[in-house]
Amino acid sequence: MCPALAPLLFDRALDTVPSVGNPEVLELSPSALRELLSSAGAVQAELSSIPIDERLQVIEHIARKWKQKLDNGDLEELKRDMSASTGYSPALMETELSFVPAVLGAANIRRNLDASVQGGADALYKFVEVDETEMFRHVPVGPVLIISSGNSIVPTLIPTVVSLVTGNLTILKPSIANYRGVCEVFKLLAEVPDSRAARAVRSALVVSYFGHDSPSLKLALEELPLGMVNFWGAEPARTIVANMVGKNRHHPRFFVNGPFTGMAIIEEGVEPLQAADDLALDVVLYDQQLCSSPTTGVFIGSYDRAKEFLRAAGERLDEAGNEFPLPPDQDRLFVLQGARRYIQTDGGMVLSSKNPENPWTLVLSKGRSSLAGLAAQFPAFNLFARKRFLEIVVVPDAESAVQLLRSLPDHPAFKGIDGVQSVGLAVTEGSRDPMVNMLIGAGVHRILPLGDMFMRGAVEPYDGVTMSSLFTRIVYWRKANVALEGQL
Amino acid sequence: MDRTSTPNSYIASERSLPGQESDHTSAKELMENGSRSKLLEDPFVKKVWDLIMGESLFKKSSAELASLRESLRRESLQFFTRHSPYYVDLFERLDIDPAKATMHDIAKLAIPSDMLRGEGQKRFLIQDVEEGGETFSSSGTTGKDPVRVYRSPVDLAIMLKANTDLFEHVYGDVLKEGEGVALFMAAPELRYKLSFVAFVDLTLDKKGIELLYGMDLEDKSQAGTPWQKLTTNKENLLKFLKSKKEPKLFFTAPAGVHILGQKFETMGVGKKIAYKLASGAPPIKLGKGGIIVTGGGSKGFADLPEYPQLVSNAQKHFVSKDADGKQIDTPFMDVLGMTETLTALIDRYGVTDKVPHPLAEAFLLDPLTFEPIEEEGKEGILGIFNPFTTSWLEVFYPGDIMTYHSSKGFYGKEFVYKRRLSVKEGWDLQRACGGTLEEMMTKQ
Repeated sequence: MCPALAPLLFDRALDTVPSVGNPEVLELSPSALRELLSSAGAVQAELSSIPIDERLQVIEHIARKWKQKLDNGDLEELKRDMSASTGYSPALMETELSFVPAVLGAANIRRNLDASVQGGADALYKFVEVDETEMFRHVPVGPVLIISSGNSIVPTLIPTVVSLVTGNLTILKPSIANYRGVCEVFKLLAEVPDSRAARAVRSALVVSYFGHDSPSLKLALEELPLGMVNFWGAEPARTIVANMVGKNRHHPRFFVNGPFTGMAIIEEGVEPLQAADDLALDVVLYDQQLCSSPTTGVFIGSYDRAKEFLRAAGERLDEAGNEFPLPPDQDRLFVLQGARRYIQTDGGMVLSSKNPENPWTLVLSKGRSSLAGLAAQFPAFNLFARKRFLEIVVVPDAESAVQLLRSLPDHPAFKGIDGVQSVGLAVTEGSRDPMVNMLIGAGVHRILPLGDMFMRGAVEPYDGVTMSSLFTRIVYWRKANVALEGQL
Repeated sequence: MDRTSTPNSYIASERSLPGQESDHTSAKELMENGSRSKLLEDPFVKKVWDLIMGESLFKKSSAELASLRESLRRESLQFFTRHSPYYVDLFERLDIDPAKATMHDIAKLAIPSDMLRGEGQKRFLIQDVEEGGETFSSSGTTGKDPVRVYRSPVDLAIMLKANTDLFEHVYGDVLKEGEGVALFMAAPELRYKLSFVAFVDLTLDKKGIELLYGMDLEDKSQAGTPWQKLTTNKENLLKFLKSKKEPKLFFTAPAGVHILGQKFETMGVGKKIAYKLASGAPPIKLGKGGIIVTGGGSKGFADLPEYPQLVSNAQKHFVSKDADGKQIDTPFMDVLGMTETLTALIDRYGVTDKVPHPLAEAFLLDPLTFEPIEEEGKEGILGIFNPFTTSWLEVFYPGDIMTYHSSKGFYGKEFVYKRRLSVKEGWDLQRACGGTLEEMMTKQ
């Protein structure tokens, strides 16, 4: 059984200490981290020498076990706990848990690796000829420390699994909110039938919480020989962690995922009900807490048509949101009501739900955002606190839409984001390609159909880079020099 | 006057601090200034003025008053569309037809008082708002700009008459011209800052009742920033205690009466005798019709006992007489006012729970849906709509949780204060006038 608040160590025995300020939570001690990292060379050498498909089968086995538990109803308690700790509706947690088998499916991971690893996934355990006489072998860059995002399971599983299957000794630090769920997934590693691959994967993974002021975490970031730190989150933690990593004489790679957000672009002329349906789904799933969730939108066209669209979207939000009811939160609703009233007295048109379990809000603004003064008036009602809340700004053309997108990081109500990661398009056939061309240079990472923003494709890069490239480096081997004649 | 010039003019009209006698506006002048307002040419303002200044509204039945409020509600919204395109646009966006406006529409229009910080009121002022009024502020002690609300001359005159009428009704008697003496545990400098202080000062001035301020601001050189420590003005306190006038009216934040009571309780025998010889107290004899009026109930900022306990404690040290001269427990009234409301809600402890002015709409909003609550006894967020305020559409919620129950009184219902919303609940405005005075009295 995985203790909810103690590290998941599998076959290892490592020293733990109470977390600073939270004595009920155990974390790895500084000496345990030193001991763990001293084994990194052997652990990674062993795991990297195992054919990739065998590694993937270990992960696939977790997926199958998880599916069984889900089908048997064994995860009901976890669903309730996760709902309480993350604030998501129980129905959304159910959806989230059902995504896990797909994320851990061997075929999906294989497709990702084949698309992202130069030379294909096989290059993760042997040299593969990429050009005549030129060979690539991708080796782990680890040990890897992943400081993962706090609001659901899937975004934590993805980097961890990629780091593991690419051969890294992986230390995963989940948040307190998703700790139990993440632990429940990975503890299934212990149930994988014994094999060299299973043992190697188990020996390469440790899951431990670390408090913000943890001496262990400080030691790991500033001193220990890490090869990679992957941070998922926003300020101020990002800069604090970056500064600590900067002190590390081993110069681990440092890659930050997020903070980003999503934008919906709707054009007059598309089927409004379909677009409204799609928008509602993207807003409700994960309550806009993902970097891919639309937290703002533009409507290219007339104000009157936009009003019609807004009403349709409101109706769809009523339906979609009621499927994922949130526990009514008086404090949150009080601030929300104030914000709605502020916006409508500042020129915005506000449509909103009367159902406290589905408190959606749509704001329609002409030409400019009506949320400019919101941050000063309701500082607590920031992007991360807003749920099922979307402003749609009506603009005359695509250029204006892209201009709004570019300016979003400077918008006071969107303070804390680096930019727009995902754009969900509901535009006419004729406008689609020109729009995509404009978006290429606008700093976005993903362009998707509206209604599909939350879904990650198997081969998708993350925030502009392939995930496998974060966790590996390429050993280049030229067998002979004849092939290079005339190239330089 | 165009809209953009309005804010400057209203800021410029904020009065300089008292002490400069030429700047002091008497209640009489204030009433005269209001009566000369050009806005009275508007039929709605004229109607409101006549209602407030005319025969007692408290003689009307609660049904008659409710009907009157309904017509005023609609006429008020129509008035604002005539005087500001802002409201035309706002009502359109909110799908409100002023001619058919319901209480649900009023609930939709209510704004959190927090939105009136700094220049927040600016957008709500009518285009032809009149200069020469006064601007009141909240404490601003939360590190943010204080709530600032401008009152035009006609609003000030209505404020004075309406509050006086409500006060006398709850008091149960009229304040007779020139009779009695009042002590206000506040400093005179606050007259132009805190609406509770202004209301008391002007009401007593209008009645020709002597008002003594029982507190001093510790540092008068910073009189422009009133949120300093208050210290007792012993001279005025003694004058009040020794006065033979009746009735004696004691106005204070709850902390004031509590601190005074504590002082008596902790006095040694010798000091008590000496004090009694000098002042006749304790107990403090308030005489016929004597009463203690607290401001805003206890918000708990000064570690005070609950209000009923505070009253009970104080009644050991204060004594009053009824009209027949029989000694009675000193009556208590509590005024729930705030910077952003022209008129207060007032109660008389043990007799009447809080009631608003007959023409004011006090309503409760469901904390989850913000729909008006119809159910008696259910806690809701207090909303206030004052249709007789003409400078801006005065409909807001000040962050107080209350309940209501039916009553045979003029309003048909009475309100019971429960608590102020907390910071955690998203409510930064933690100090109404009474609370601010409490904080200043208890500052170390």
